[in-house]
Amino acid sequence: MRQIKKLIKCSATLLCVVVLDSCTKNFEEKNTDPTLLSEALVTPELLLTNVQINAGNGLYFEYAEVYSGMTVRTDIGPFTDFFYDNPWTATYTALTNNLAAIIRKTSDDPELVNHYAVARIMKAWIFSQCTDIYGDIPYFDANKAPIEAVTHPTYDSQKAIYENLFIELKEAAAQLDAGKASYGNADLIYHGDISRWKKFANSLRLRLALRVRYADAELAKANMSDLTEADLITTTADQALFFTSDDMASHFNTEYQWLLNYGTDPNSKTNLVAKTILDILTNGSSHDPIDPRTKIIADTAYATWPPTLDPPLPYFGYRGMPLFGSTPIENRYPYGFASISTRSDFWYVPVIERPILRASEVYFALSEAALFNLLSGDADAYFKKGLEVSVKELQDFYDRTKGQLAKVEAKFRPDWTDADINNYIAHKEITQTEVDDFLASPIADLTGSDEEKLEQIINQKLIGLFFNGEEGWSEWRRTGYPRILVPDDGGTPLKGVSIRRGHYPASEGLVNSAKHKDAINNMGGKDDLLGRVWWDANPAAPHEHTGTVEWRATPWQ
Amino acid sequence: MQNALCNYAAVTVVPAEQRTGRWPSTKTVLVMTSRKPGRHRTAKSYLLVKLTSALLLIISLHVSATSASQRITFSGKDVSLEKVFSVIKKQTGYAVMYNADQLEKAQPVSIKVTNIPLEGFLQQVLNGQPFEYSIENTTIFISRKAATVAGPPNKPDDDASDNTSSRPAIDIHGRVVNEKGESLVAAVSIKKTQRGTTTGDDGNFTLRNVEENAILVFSSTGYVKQEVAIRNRAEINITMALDDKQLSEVMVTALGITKQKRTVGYASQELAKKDLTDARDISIANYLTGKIAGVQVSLPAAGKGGSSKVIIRGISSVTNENQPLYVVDGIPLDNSRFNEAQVFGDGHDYGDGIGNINPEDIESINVLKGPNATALYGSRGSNGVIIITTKSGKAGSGVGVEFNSNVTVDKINQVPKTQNKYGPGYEDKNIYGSSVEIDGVTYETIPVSNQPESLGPPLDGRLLVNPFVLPGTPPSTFQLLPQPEDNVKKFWETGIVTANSLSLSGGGERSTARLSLSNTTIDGITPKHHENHQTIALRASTHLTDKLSFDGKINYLHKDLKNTPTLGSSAQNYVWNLSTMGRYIPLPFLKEYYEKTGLEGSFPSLSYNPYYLMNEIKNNSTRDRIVGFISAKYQLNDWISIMARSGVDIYNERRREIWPVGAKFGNQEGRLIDDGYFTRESNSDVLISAAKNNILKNFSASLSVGGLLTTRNYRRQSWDARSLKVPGIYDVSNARNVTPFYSDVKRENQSVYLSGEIGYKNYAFLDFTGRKDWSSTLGTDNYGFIYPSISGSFIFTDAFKISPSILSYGKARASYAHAGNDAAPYLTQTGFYFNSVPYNGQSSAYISNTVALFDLKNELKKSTEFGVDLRFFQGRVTLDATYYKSNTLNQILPVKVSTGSGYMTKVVNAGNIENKGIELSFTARPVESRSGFQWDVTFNYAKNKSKVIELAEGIETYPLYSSYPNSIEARTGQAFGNIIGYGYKRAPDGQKIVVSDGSYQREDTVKVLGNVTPKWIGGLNNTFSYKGFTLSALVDFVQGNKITSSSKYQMVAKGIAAFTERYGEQSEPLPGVVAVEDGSEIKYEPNTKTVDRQTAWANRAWNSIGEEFVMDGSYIMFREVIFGYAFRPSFLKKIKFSSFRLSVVARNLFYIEEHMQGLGISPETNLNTSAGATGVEALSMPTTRSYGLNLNFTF
Repeated sequence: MRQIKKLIKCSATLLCVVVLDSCTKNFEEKNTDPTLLSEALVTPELLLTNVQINAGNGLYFEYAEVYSGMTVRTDIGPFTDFFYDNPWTATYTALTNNLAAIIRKTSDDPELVNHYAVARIMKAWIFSQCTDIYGDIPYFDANKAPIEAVTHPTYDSQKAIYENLFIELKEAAAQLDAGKASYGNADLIYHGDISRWKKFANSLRLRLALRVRYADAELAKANMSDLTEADLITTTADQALFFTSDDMASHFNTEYQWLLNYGTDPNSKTNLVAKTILDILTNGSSHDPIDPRTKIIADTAYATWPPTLDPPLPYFGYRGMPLFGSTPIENRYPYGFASISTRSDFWYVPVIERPILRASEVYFALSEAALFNLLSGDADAYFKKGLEVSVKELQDFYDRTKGQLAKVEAKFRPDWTDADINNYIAHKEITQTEVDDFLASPIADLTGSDEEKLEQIINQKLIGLFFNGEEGWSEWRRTGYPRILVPDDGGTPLKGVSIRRGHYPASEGLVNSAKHKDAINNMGGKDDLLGRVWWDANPAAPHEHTGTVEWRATPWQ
Repeated sequence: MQNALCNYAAVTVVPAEQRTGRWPSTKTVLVMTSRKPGRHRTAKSYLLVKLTSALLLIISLHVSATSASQRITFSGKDVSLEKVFSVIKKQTGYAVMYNADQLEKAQPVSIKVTNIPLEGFLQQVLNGQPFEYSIENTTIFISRKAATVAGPPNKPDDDASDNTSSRPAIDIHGRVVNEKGESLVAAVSIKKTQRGTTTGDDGNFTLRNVEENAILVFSSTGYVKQEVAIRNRAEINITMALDDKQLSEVMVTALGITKQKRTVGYASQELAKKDLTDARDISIANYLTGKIAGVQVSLPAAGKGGSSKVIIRGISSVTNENQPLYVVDGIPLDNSRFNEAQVFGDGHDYGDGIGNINPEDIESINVLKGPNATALYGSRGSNGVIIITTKSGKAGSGVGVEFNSNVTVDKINQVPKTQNKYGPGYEDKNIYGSSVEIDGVTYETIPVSNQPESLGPPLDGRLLVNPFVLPGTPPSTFQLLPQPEDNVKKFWETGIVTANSLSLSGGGERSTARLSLSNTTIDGITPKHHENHQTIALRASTHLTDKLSFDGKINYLHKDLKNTPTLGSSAQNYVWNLSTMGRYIPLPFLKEYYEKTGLEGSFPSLSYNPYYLMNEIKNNSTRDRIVGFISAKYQLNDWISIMARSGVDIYNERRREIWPVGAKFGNQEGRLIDDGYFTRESNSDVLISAAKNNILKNFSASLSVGGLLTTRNYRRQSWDARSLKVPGIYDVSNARNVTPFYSDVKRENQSVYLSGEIGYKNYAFLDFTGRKDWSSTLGTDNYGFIYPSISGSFIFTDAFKISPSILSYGKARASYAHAGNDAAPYLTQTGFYFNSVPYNGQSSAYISNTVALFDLKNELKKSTEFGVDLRFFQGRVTLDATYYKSNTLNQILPVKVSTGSGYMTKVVNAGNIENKGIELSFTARPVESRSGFQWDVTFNYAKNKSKVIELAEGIETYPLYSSYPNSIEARTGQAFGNIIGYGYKRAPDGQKIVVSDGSYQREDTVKVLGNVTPKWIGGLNNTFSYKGFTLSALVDFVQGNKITSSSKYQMVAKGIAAFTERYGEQSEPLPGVVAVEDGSEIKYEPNTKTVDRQTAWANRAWNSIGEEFVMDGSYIMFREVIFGYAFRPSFLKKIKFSSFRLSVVARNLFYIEEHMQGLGISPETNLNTSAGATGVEALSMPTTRSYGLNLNFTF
């Protein structure tokens, strides 16, 4: 019967084709992918959630943790130049393009002003990270609607981009209206809380203003002067965090995913804690550092907790991993990687927080700004508040993760009993006494010249930024701190110098070659890992610390 | 002139339907032609020639020659023959062809019969008349009785020519006339000599000095060859009889329109009948291997049951699939190959669409090679069309039964030749294990690694900790020794394919039907691989009235497949496991371990325990498919008919893959993939056909006009379910993490077309077609496209009256055509995708990263073709030659754009790929003896030169496929399919440069390392037949292409290939030079640094020196030997069979030439059927040699 109907339809079609040229009225519908959502169906909420998942969970530029002196990876050397495409591609195709779609959808609707403003803030945040990596990038041509897509976008100068980012953040913060609808739970970061988005926009502006202070002090000042402590993220409750999820494997903390697939014992961890950050934390006391954050960030070298494993290994205390160039670690340490502190097991839980902007960063930024008279305030007091809130941040982190630790130990230390796990958790708890002792210690006071104070601020800021490698790396580029000892290793292409920017993706040279060439010319004629982005403009910054790392071949007694 | 017209008018009896492709049409049949036989005396007589039967006959139902079963009832007195014939036609449906002029001389007949066989009736009717008859299919040919020799009747007699030299010689003259008494140009030769002559325009000939007992041979195209003994006569006059058997062939062309071959102005090639009947294979695509000029068929990587890749005249499209369209009984058959295996990923080949057809149901296969032949398929014709006609019912007495049984045994042809000297580890010496103390002595362990390298110390019997122990066994030692060399070969099993098919066919005066059943089972060479295909086909047709007929078919397939092997660079691929595992690994122990524990075991120097793989990681698929059509035809009058038909092809397929808890490589928590496919294609068309001979003096014409509606729909619904809650339960609801996937692809085409032909004097023909397609997948303003073609055919032997003695037939042809590929659906729109899994309960969506092409156009192939078809010595030697040039424009390319735009790709219409080439198809019958011995040679050759003239603007290279260490790209100015990778760095004199550690240096940038397109391909077949015995042998060639081999990469990287034994124990340096800085100059000195195997071999892979892994893909394969025997009719009559045939086939016997360096791989297998992956070898299954026995009988 169906075929007869077809026949009738065919005959009708034939007639129709002959008489009317064709019957293509249903073609448009036919050629519409039912799995594709039309512009009308897609909501800003759906798009924002997707952006936040991708910006939050997919580690944005993980090697920045190495450049910033936070961690060292064992599975790959730090100075190879093939992994710079990802942040660029992710920025444009997964993140800002969706935000631009929200902006297009909401810009004319006064009822959706919060949707519009939050998208602008998110977009400013993501573009700031992207330009910080590469320098000049496509900005004004990027992310047009498909029908007017600029397939060969012009690269805009970082200065022009920053100027626009400030405007975007200022305008968007002003637009936010607590009386209007918001994203609600589709907003995985603030759950639609407009007041916290306002604080985020302001704090981000503070971050970016400080970043440009060596390049354009006036611009920096202009974008800080209107900010007060009350406008900013100053408590752990307001900080911008993204949480991974345990609802399915692809949403897990990537470290937990790794653990499930490849982890065997703590010795298999591929991210070791860097010597740079651990030296700051331990402050010369690698056995019993006064900074209580140390034990949350790192474990003492392998098998030292509890120190009763069989066969027992020597106890090394907290020992960070220097950048090792091409020398195999076995040639340096008798026990290889087991001689080095790994990140504590807390960083391997399935649901973990990814820091976007923490309160401690804001205080350290205020401290620096006050120190250099970019705004009024007490640098020392801000510094201390920064330390205080930084400890609180890790205490919160501890509280949020300890319940998941059993899952981690099931893979890392299957032979542990519940008591062993609890023992480990208890050991890691930061007590009020420890906090008080730490805040009373000389570490909590700024001393010396302004430059020395700056080093102290940035060093502590680095700890506050732990797990947020890009920010740490940017701070190092801007200020030269912390002092990262880079082995003078002829085997690496950079011969002992840490990188200052990322290569443009190779594909740009192929598919956008003219604009790509212009951009390189504008940045000094070379797409150089050692080239400087516009704001990286402090000639006095002490960037190069080459030399021989002091390797300790004997166990700590 | 008027006279001439009148004379011509008497001829036609052919219903127009038969000319215009009554549907479904079948195999090539023979019909009488309107060609003017021979050559006539004067221009005047030429004009006045009363042509015999300018008749076309296209028969849709195959009816055997033994049509005696048609029965006649008749009663009449003094009835004219014409009247009798019309009764025959009415009662039998058979056409009767005769010359009206001749019938004037016929006597009226008086006869009364009841229900007697047709042949008996004809004999009675023609008794005493100067006519005889023959029956060909459903046509009765009435002709004058064969040549009668003036003078005493003579019988040709071989004996008469004995002792010729001693006989006296005489002069002979005579005249040759046709059946109407008109002069004929004919060749007259003296048998067993080189002498001869041709008749003049007046038909007269003279031969001098002929032995009086010699035999004269008279031949003229279109007439029965005659031998006449001289018997001492001086004058011999001959009347030549029209040769029904030598009528020119017809062929099925596009849309099932049947045409005489002579009128066709483009190349096409039909598969020989014996290739269908004797050389059985489970997929009919494989029948084409080496047999059709310009067609390249690649063996499926998965072996039996896998998907075939057929490329005609080279690859022409960058992104289109490049495979031909299969049309079965006029209805396109879906040949989708969903979700094919790739280099990376655990892919499988679940088979294609064409493999679902029961080969027993096939009547004929015709290959239309280029747009020139396929323009009528419009937007689906670009890659050539393979026209398949299936069998239909045969009228006959009772039910005709055909049974076919086929058993094929597949044996592994070759496995990799491995080194058997070195064990696990590195640098020829280090195992890098830890140590374990056993009984106070410390032994080294072999570390467990997923990258098992055999670059370590010799397998010298040293004692190590035994890794091959069952759980709970106390530590023990074992000796590091090689395993038997054939241990891998023993892993594979003997494959067996059995195919049985039974068909019943029968019919009466008006209706016929055929029912066929088939059952095919495949036991693959991989353990646990098992397939079962069952088909039922029912075909029925009926003439409801003289004018109205119906035809219909329904075909059902059920296919069950279990455990098709994993392909590509996957740890689940047996080939990966077996060709990279350490040579010391005892396979029997792995088996024992799995059987006793049910566990994988994680052994050193091995990716996966293959016995665990085979028993625990499984897949299966089931497919149910229905293909059917119904058609109705109405014969409006004797020259116009209308046909309407509708067909569907529907199938469901469900695939499941399971990994138990404890599997490796990301599937530790257990996993299930449940994948469902639904496919539906429907075609409905209407065709109006008209044909008339002699519409004007000397002109014939035909025209068909039609319309077609095609809808296609592909749906896929699948779930990737990971982390099983309860181990062992493979149900989506039992998984913690489920990722659903859904796709729904729809498309519609509307077409109108016309096809026409104008013939002039039956030797010059002009053919034109035009089709307008509206494709739903194109841009709104570009839905409709016109695909025109024009072709001409000119039989110059007729036109110029060339003597047929040497060149009996010559045709020149030329054509120009457009055909296309409409785009894949959904390229014209952009939008957002919904994430199939929510995040903490929050749904999300994202913008598509492709910029659509809103005014997308079709891909268009323009093709020009010239050719000649020549027949020498009455067809003993034939040569068809074709030159073609095609340009495929408007390629639909998703080109990369700056990601800075926010998008990854943009669809563009651009590019131009040119293919030009020559195809030769040559046949000869060097020996044809009276005793019945015959030797036939066929040779085909195709040279194709492809060139990427242009890609999109600003794009010089387009990635086609990423493999490792090389990839495949299309580059402008070069042939399609460049292998791109790193070469060896070489000194100016070409020697490889060696660096300080003694290994070869890699070049700094990638370059073109070779091209995957063969320079030429061909096949040579020899067939010998004698009294029912046939022996044929086929050799096929592919020459001048390169492949990139992942197998070689793995076997070099892991130190397994036999040739990696060299350099062991630092025995010698690599041949090459070292660069020495001499001031500002660089000098090259011979390399002297000895190296270990790791540095010599593995470094080439580790450093991605792709050049090492590019291999010459040329081969010559001894493809097929068939030995067949058909019992003689006289014997069959006794046992009441109508035919009985036995054949033995050996396939893929061995390579006469190949360059695979003992790696056990085949140069012809392809990873998958995509054009981009051509030339990509990735750990494909070992090739097999097949031996088959086929038994076929009918009664």
